[in-house]
Amino acid sequence: MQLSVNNLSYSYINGVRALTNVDIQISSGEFVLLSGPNGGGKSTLLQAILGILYEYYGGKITGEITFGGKSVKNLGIKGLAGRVGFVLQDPGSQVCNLTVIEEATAALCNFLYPKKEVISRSRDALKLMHLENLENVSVDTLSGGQLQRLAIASLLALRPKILILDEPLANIDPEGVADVIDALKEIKKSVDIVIVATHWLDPFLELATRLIVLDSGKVTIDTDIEKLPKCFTAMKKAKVEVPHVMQIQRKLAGLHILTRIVKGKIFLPANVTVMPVKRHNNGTGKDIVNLNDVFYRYPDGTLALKDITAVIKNGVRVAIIGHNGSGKSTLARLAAGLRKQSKGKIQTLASNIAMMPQKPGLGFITTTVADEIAYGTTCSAREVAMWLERFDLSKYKDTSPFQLSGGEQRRLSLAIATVRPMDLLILDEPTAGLDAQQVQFFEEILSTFTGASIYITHDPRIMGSFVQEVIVLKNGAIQFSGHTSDLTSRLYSDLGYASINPTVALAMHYLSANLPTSPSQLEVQNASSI
Amino acid sequence: MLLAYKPGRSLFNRTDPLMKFVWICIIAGWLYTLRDIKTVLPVTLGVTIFSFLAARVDIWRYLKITLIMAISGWGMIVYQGWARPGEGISIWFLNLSYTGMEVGIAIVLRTFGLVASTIAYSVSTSPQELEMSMIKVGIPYRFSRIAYLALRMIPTYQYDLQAIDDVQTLRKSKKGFERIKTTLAALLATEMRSVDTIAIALDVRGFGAHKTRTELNEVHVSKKGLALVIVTIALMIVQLVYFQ
Repeated sequence: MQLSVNNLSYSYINGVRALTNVDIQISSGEFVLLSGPNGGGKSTLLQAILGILYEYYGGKITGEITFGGKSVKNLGIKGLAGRVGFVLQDPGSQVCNLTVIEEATAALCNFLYPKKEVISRSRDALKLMHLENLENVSVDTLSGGQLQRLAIASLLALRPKILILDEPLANIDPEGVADVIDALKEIKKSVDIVIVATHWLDPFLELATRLIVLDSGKVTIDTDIEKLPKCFTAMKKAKVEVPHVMQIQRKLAGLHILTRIVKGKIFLPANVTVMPVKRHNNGTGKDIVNLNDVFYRYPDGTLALKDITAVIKNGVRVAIIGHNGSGKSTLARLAAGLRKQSKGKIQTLASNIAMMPQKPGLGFITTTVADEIAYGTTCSAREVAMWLERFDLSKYKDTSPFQLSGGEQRRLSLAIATVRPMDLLILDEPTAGLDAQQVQFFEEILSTFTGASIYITHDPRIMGSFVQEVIVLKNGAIQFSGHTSDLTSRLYSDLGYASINPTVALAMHYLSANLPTSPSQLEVQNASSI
Repeated sequence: MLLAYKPGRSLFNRTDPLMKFVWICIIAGWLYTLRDIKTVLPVTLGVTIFSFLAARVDIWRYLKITLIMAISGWGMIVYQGWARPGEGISIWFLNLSYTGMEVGIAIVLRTFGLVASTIAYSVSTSPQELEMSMIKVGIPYRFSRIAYLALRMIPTYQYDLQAIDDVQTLRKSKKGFERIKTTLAALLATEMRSVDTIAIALDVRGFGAHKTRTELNEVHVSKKGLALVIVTIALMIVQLVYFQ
């Protein structure tokens, strides 16, 4: 089985070039990571492989894609369905049924498989994804990781030859990350080719055989995973998130500590120990929000939060993490005064509060980008223009905010949230789907913010080094609250690492990300003796 | 949410979806054959009380909806009073006939009855049952699945609507009509983005690849459902013959 992309070029209907002379041959047994900056052409290439580009979007396509010797264009979406599985970024939108078993059987039913076969194949797929005990459970109660595994199971039931996953770890909590990685290990045995489009390479390094980077519609890196350390500079140049293990290796090399990377793990010399470093937050000490024994019930009586006692200080970046439905959004809304607690006391000094919703479009009010920034402020036209320039939105000044791309909408949303002085900022998954460069931009903007900020996020890129405090919620109660480094220390003492595996550590435990994203914070003992 | 499906053991939950569908059609037909208040009022009351009991509808939430409907119902009453000639009253510059206003009230009452029965149906019927019923009455599965999807997405839209309201409150956006307009624009524009995702997800799972699909569950007419329909038809005949 071979997937061939031969000299493929594509221009959108408006003439914008998205792919240029892309040549890729992928054979059976390969696990390919597809990376690159936002707008680099990853999604377009995936859509071309799936036949979507030909049938949905039009535009000008030259070159050819073949699958097992047959042209994708001729096969069409319907011809490819069942042979090529595609898992989209947002599991919530692609799971279209009410219960786990309904979702798992849906695709097989569409292909008119007999009842018996539908049931047996679906059960096999659910078992493979460790969902066999959840058959009759409502999909609304599943965690992000479970939803993603269910989306994969419904496709696996069709026994596809190729499985393509677009940012499968975005918006998923760390346990969910481990779940999906485990699922992919199983899939590797039964699917010929796996392609994963992702910004975050670390978790996949132990599985992947090859990395392809697309930048400005061209293949800029195409390498075996074993040779990845040699691509450090090329990856930086291509604006790709360099795997954290490689960053650590480079840092340690600067300290004359030689390490080796095998399947995504970095191995240290035996006499080197790694310790997390305690960090101090830079808060001014003033309590912006103080929650004392707070309980919250939904209007239908369900207890959403219980016994919440927490303080959010000025100048401190706090992350709220936890499973789907653990009460993260509700807690943030209580802190913002958008919900009234059922019991307990909330004291707040915040009068100016801004919120960035997970879907940025939900926060827009006006008809142009410039008006969005000016709304509710006393900004002059000149100030708005400066603000647009700062957020690289000048060319969209008179465009409707709803017409912007996902990344642009997030930038606009951030601009709106920070254009006025705020006491409290609430950001719901602010960096989901953004590339390394854009995350860095977000960090730059937000690091100058002087008020308190609450991040509802699982993005390891900001969880590791940017956020200072963390509240871990489980079933509506606080499981941990404190400095990120305190949690990391606890995890270290529990785990007693002999070698560092940031990927697994990160996936399995909150805040091991502390390590990989900030190698400068490592204390390497006995370094001088090496 | 008032219209959202709630699994349970109510009479309606245990009645087959096909007969409930037939029942709701009979109720609609019955209500629309009635023209004056004296006949509409008892039928509407009967349908409403039965709906509450049979489907265990949350009465407080229903009353909230009724209040909104009653407010907007005034428009209908005034319009009918103004549009139909006859003896009546003058309010400001409007001449409203009694006959017209009575017709308006009857229309509002009929709508109340229909809403009550629809709520009873929707809270006791899962989207899957609805889909199966539609297929059973001959609607192609592609269309019935769209109805299913619409119901499936209601909680998502509700969650997003709440998020819009929260952001607009924090941004101190104007209230009233302006708020409704901006809320709808944000909701529509955002949800339209997810349409592509849903379409692709359905396509790669072979949706629409064939004219039919394997149905794992089938709808069977239950004795309870049949009894419900027969009793309703009997009551309708009695009412139309003896009390019209």
